[in-house]
Amino acid sequence: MSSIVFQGHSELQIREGCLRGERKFQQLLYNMFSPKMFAVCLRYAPDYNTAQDLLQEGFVKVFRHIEKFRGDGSFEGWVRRIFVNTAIEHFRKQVNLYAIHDNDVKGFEYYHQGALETLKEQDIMNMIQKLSDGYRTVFNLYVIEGYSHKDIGEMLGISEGTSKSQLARARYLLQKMITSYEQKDNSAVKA
Amino acid sequence: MEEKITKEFDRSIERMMNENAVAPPFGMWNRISADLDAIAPAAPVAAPLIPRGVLYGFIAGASLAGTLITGLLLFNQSGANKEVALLNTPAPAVVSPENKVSLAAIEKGEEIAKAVYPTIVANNPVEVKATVPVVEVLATTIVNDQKPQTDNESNLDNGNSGETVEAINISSEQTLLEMRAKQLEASVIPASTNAIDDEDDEDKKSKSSVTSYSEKKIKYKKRKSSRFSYGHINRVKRKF
Repeated sequence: MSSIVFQGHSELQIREGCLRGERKFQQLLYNMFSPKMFAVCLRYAPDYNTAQDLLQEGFVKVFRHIEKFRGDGSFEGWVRRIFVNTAIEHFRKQVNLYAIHDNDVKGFEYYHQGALETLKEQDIMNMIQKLSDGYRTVFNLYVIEGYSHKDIGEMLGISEGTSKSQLARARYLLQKMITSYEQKDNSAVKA
Repeated sequence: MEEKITKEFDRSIERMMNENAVAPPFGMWNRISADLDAIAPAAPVAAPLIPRGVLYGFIAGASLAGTLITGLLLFNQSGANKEVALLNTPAPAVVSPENKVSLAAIEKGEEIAKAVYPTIVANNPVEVKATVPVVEVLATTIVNDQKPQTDNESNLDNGNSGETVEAINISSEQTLLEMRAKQLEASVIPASTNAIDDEDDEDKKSKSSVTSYSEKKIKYKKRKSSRFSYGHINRVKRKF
């Protein structure tokens, strides 16, 4: 579990150093996880600056509560969970989630399967960021973090139905964006 | 069909996002470090695990328990000492019939008393005579009580052979002599002291006069209360 070695230090050593409050080891932990965690923050945040705030808040939480990690699962998973929870807390008050009627959600009219393969990670990230707070949060929690609608409902204080409808709407908007991006790309190539 | 497309769409996005890693801006660590510095001194002091009241109660209870335990231990020890003392008490002095002759001499405490305290006896012949019968009675009772011991089975079992019995007899004779002498001394000395007291009546008086000095009561003068006074104001009634 602690076989991961980063800059000559094992994960366990880094963790113990952080427990002692040593700044050197805190920085090592930051260097170890910051790229992945920043990507998580970018997915949940509407913009780059908010993602930075989330990253800062998340790492402060990690360093303050590192003694709570019992070593049951992976440390990275524990850190990631803290960041996700930080993001959810950040948007819980702001996000105004409401149930969307099924008729509002249109099917995959324009989307075709190969469209995603032409896109880069950064493009997808930008598209997710363009979603509204509610759609983005539910989409991230369900599709990327793997939570069930029941869990999402409990986390965000909404019903399962609302979570489902939010997800469907988020998917629809994303596919629309992907299709439009593909069309633009194709027209650019033709030109 | 639509479900399948949805699943594939979700999986591909999940894979892309999980593999994705974005380097944060350079100054990010400095911001976090500054945040940690700001938090560290403001962190509240951890409350003691045990509240003060509980701690004091524990100390009081421990002290009480300690006293109880020590008391119990002392009590047990004294009981044990008693047992040890009982075990260590020497066997009653054995008087053999051979020693009766010497004891007979002891019985006549008058002679010894005369030898030890010739002057006292000479001064108080009446009182010495009065004590002699008492001593005689005591000696006879002791002699009667102490029967001669032989090498019987019980003695052998206890490790008391005939030789040891003899040795005990000698020692017991000495101790008896000492005892008689002490008894005589105790019975004679108070009388002598009384006689001396009678003679030195004047000295006694002087001594009593000296000892009475401590009984004198020293009278202290009462200290006057030192209250601050503003003086008297002579009020004169004005005549209008």
